[in-house]
Amino acid sequence: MTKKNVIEFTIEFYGVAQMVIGMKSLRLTMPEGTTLLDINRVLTQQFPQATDKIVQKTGGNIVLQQGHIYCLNGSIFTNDPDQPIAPNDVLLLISSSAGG
Amino acid sequence: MFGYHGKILVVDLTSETSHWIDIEKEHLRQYIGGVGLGAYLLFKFSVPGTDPFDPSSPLIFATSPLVGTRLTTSSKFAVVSKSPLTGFINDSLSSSFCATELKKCGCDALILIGRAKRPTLLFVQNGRVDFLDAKYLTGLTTAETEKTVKETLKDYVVRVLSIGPAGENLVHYATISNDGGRHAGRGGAGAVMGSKNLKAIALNGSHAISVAQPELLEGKNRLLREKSRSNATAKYRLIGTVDNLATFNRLRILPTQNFQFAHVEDSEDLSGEALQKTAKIKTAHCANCTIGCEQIFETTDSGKSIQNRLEYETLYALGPLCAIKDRNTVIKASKMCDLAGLDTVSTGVTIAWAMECFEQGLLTLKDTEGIELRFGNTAALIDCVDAISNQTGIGKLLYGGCKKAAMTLGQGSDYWAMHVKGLEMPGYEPRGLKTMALGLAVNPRGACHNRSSAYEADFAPGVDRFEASVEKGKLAAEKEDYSAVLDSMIWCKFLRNCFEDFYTESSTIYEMVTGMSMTAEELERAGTRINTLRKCFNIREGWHRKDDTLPRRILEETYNGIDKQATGLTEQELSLMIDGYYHARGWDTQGRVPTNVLRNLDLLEIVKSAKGSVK
Ligand code: SF4
Repeated sequence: MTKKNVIEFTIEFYGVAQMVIGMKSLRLTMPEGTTLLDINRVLTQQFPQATDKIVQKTGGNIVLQQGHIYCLNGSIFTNDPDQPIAPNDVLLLISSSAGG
Repeated sequence: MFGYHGKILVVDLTSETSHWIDIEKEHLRQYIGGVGLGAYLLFKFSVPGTDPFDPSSPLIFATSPLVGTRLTTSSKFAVVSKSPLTGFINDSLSSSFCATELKKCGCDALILIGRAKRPTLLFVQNGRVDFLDAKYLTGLTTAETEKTVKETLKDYVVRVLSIGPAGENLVHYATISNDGGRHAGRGGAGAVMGSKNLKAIALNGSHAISVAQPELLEGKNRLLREKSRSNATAKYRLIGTVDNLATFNRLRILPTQNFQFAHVEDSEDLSGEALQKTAKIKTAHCANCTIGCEQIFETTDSGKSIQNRLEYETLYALGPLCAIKDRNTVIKASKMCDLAGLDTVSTGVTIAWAMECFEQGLLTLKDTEGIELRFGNTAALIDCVDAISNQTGIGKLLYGGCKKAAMTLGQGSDYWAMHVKGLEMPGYEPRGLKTMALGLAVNPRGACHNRSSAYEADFAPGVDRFEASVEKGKLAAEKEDYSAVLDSMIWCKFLRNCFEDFYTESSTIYEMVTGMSMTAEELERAGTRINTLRKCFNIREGWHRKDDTLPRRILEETYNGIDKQATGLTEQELSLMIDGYYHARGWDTQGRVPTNVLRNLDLLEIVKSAKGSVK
């Protein structure tokens, strides 16, 4: 993989995700064209404890568990596995229940 | 009758008498219970234009069909009255054993009118009502009152509703406390109770509560209990609502320093994640709840242990909003509020207003009696809470909330008064959450995140939270109706994600409990009916379209949002969304409810015929 075929981006973890993953943020380098599905896969591989608590396998897909959502660059809330990630994006993994 | 008693207990504190009235099955079905039933009773039995502190103004405690069943999170009741802060309808929810005990007294609701001649403890035992002298309780905190009432009655199974010094002193945002620290918090129900010279209510009932289809209901309850322990509620169980703080800070929607900013640097100490790790001592729960969201935190900062439950709204209002970053101060101030019986949101927002006035030179050390009321001053926050509870010093200005205080102080200070209709703003920056902005502006209760729930739309995939469009009107109306049903059934909001199809499942459960037919569509319509009636109450009390707005600061200033982008909301944008909301509800452009809408919602009769007065 040459350098220009990869992108770097950050995931920040909040709330339950931070408790389960055990860190506040993670810098990732992945191939261009990376989507949320790929990121979910990385989470299950790097953090086995996240499986079923943060992400779950359903059929061929790996999706976020109920109660969690991504927020892309602080603006777009999404749990669409096909959502593409761009270089230097910041992905927040937060609770999907805002109320309090 | 299943699920209900079909009876309302009316207590007149002036004449020290009580009587029962029947309530028709159809009305119970139309208004469900909780805030819906309370709104119906308030509309029917209050005299239009009456001051909330007038003896004839009713104070209503409404249970729901689910109370007394074993359904998880359903031990809740609503307290409904005219709000001293807004002059419009107010409904607060509280939880736990008092809900069941009230229902076991044989009533679906308790209506209090009149004003006692002396401080009174009302003792309700099934149908029997005693008016006991409560002079010895005067000045006691909520916790002391609850304990002393139990000791005096030599009855440790009674359940107690009480006010603290704040309610006695008619602080307009006083709460009613129950079950060791639960509160009917927002809107000033505690002040209305104080105006009736009623210090506490002791409840002891033994009426059975029967349900129509107990086996089917138990099966449904089993499933709900299971889901209530699933990922859907992990946030509430593991961290609690304080989880919001760090996320909102990151999203630049955490109101800070009286809404001057939406982000605070170095907020780590206050984050839910950090509190959880270093200050949490235990988790607790309301009666009959399998979630258990109450996170109890401790500070030993002052040498002794102070423990209290913290919710996000408290953390926001007594923390970043006043530029306080010290968690020990927030825990201590929140404990003081709970013991005095003060709504933490209104307390924090009103103090933040005073801090800004002080920094702008509108309030001086003479006004504050020596309190250096600057943003971030922890000692000043504590002193202020004390002054408000007892209506002393600066508390004499702040006791009526920020709207009233700004009217008294004048000099343009209303610009910094962060309220809608008189109710202080919750911890959601509306300029960065446009559906929420609309929800806060139009809700009949005032600036209330709970009755609106519009924030849910802004956090949903596919919704642009920064866009102010006419379509947001429909979203806000739908969320408001959904909340009305949640709050009338009454389900705990934190159970909401455990339903796959909320209206279908809730209507089925309603049928299992009451034996009365209810479809999902009818239940949804009940939500619309309840909100429309709440609006009709406000119209009757003098509401005009200009009341559906947001504080001027929100509409005139931008703030540094995500990536330091200027984020704002203009009056025109808000107006566009309000038009969309009225249109979605079928109201006219001035927000009035046309006759055909009233007729379609079966509201024509009540709106036209209510004469007021429960006597
Ligand atoms: S989730 Fe929390 S507020 Fe809701 S019923 Fe349970 S303990 Fe009470």
